[in-house]
Amino acid sequence: MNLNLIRTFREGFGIRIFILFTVFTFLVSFGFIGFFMHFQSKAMEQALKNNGSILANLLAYNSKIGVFSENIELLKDPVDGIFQQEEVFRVTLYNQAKEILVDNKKSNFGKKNTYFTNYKKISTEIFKNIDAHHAAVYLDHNDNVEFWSKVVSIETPLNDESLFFANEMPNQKARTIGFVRVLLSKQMLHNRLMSLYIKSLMIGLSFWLAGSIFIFFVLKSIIKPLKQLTSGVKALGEYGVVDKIPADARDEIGELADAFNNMYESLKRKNAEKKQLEEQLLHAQKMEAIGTLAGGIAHDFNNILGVIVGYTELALLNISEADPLRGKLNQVLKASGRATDLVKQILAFSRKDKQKLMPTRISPIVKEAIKMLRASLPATIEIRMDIKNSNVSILSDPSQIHQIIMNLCTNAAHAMPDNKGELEVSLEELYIDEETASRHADLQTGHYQKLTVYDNGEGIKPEIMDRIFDPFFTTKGPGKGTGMGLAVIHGIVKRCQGTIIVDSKIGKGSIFQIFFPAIDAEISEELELNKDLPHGNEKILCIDDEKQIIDFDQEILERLGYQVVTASTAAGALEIFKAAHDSFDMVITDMTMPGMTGLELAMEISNLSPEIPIILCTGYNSNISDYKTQEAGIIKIIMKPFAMHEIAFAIREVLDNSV
Amino acid sequence: MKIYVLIVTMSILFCSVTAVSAQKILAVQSIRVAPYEEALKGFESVCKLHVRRLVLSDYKNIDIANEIKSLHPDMILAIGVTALAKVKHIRKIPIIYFMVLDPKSVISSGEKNISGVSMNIPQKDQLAVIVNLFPDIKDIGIIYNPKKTSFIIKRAETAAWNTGINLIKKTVNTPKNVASRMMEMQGKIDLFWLIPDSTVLTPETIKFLFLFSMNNKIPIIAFSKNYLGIGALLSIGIDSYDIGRQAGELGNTFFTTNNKNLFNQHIDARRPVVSLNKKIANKLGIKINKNNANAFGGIDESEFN
Repeated sequence: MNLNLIRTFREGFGIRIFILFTVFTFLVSFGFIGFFMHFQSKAMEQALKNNGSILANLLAYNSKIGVFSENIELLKDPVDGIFQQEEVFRVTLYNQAKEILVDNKKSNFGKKNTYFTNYKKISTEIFKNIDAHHAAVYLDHNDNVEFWSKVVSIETPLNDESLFFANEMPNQKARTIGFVRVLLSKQMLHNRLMSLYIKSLMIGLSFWLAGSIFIFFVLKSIIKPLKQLTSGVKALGEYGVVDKIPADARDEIGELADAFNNMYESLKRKNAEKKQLEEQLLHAQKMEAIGTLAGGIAHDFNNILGVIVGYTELALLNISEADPLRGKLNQVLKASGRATDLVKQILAFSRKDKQKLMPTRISPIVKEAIKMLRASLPATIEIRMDIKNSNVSILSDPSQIHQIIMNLCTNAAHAMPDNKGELEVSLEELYIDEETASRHADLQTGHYQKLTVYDNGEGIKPEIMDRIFDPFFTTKGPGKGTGMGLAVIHGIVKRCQGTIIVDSKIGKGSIFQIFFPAIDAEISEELELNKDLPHGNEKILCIDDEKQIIDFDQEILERLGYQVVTASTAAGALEIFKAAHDSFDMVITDMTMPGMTGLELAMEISNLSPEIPIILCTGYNSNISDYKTQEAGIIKIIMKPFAMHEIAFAIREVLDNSV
Repeated sequence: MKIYVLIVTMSILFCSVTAVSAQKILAVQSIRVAPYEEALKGFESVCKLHVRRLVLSDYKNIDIANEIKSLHPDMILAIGVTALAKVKHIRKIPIIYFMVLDPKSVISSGEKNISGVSMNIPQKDQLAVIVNLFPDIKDIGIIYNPKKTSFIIKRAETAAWNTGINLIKKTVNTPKNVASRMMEMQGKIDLFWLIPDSTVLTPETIKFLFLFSMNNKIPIIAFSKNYLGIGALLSIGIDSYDIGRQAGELGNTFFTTNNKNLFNQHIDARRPVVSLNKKIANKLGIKINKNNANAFGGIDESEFN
């Protein structure tokens, strides 16, 4: 019990303050009462003495005649007057010869007091002492105070004549004609003191209790929010969550509660950010791991593919046209081409491709890509463009920027039900501050080019949001997508030291924001695509098995002024060429096509018209030997995907050199 | 040292007096009080001679009588009873006293060279004033010490007998008995007659007497104006200046006739000064018949009204 009390005292701030205050007020109240009573006691005692002196002097003055004449009757009134005073309980008057003239006492005082046994035995010394004093003399006893005063008279005139002019006579001497003795009881004083003491005690007690009750409620009002705060802190420490602490008061405690609430909100927000960052980091690590794995596999697999393609082509050269194996080998070659494209994308994702990064101003590339998209996407999709002209450059490969736009916009178009919706592409320069940077693991403070692609399509489900950049992850039906589009974009962006932020809501659409770090570099005029692109009016046969690409190629080439004839198969292209081989000035063919590879087609066309220049487009060129290209009449190989300026310069270079 | 100074001073004094007049008068005065001064002025106003003064209270432990003899004055004026007592043994120089209440108590042996005017206003004159002003008064109380003022009482008794007043007398030997004697007269007297008796009149008894007077509505007739202020209704006092003049007339008679037989004359003060305290009269409810005041020269009311 005692230990509990001590513990409560030690641990309870409110209890401690309350007890300390109560003890303090108790000590102050009763200390004050003590001092008050002490001084009051002294004052009352002094007042009693003063009163006694006055009474004795008054009696001495009023009893002059009675004492002088020793007339008891004349002394009656003065003595009775003194007896009116409550404290006076005995009055004795003496004549000049120290004989008692009057000795009156109240019946209810001093009956048992031994002091009165020897009351009348007064030594002459006392009388001498009193006679020597002008003022009243008092003797303090236990229960009473005794006051003595002398009765003084003016000396009688020496002769009768002087009575005629007493006023004219010199000062006459005073003489003592008797003594007055007044006894004042201390009983009344004690009674008054006791009464005063009890009243003071009651008042002190009342004030103390009132003060304690008041401070109890004051402390309660102070401690309550503190307790709530303490509970909140404990709950935060134990469970990590806490209800909002009420902060009604506008005082320091209210401010503390406010501060705690703010701190909790801040912690919650930071935890969420931390979690998000952790997820981002985890995702980045995952992507990095996948990229490393895929890159490694793709690299080795690419070499294997080179061997397969090489030997397949050799085999095709060694067998006759009628050999039934020829069809099977062409299938091998076609499958190998697809595998090559896939490997190329995996390498792009894993950032292990060998494209060089250069300072690039991406706004022209974005504009060009969007123009191409307008031609290829259904007219029901509204495309908006907000490209702000800027001199800011980023470190990238222009063709890969083009690929990013194409892939994102294609995905956006696919996400729109019934091919209806809005697609918005914007590019702006911005500065990422510390606060924004702190919310994203990959972002750092600095200047960025932000590329935003927004669509109001179906949106991405939250449960797959963290997988959209995984290679081969696709929501499209079988055969409709490789699942490498976003993975490739991720690889390109990471290679550019950029960051992708995706936000999506089901039914509302998605927004992809890509942040490319801006650099300070001069852009070569050669990279300014649309300014001085070489044009021409020659007729070109363009072959690619993918309709989207063949449309893209036709758009570019026609934009450059060329006459374009397209074919989606190698066989179709060969027939077109055979029919009018003299009208064509150039052939541009894809490498990997079903039925016949671009290399085979080039050899067929070279056989028909050895002079005609051929450009081979391929996603991966390591499998094609120089010998084979020369044999097939291929003048130049262009890596897919290519930018407009690449194909424009390549065509012009080949045409001009072949003339 | 003081003695030599005194002798030298006296010698110079008398040399100068001799130069002016042949008669040398030495006034021996008991103390320096205003009534004595006024009385001396009264003397000088009648007896136009050079008077030189000797105030006894200024000299102590000196045999004044011998000193006076050595100065050979032609006449000695004894002003006050102390002065009279000091010079009464001088036989060869005529002595005139004044401002003495009962000269016979001092010169009982009947010295022939001493004449004078007492302070006593004849009791019959005083009673006449009382009767005139208070015609209804019948019983008058009086307290006295027979050893001191019996001469006054005897005269008062005679006067009372003649005027039909009942004089109720109480004697005291000590002041202590005054109060009880006064109380004994309660309800028996119409008026209390205060006489100049130092046994009766002490500071305590005076207070008591006047307190008693107020409580019992007994008017007090005093012998000095001084008592009006503390509660006396009326005072029949002396006129110091006139007493001096009376003494001066005696001196003149002596010097003009040079008849030694004219000495040994002892006369009373002739002019009573009657003063009234109207406030006390009003408080006591006493009506005064002022119409009869002309018989004794009127009433002085100015001081206490």
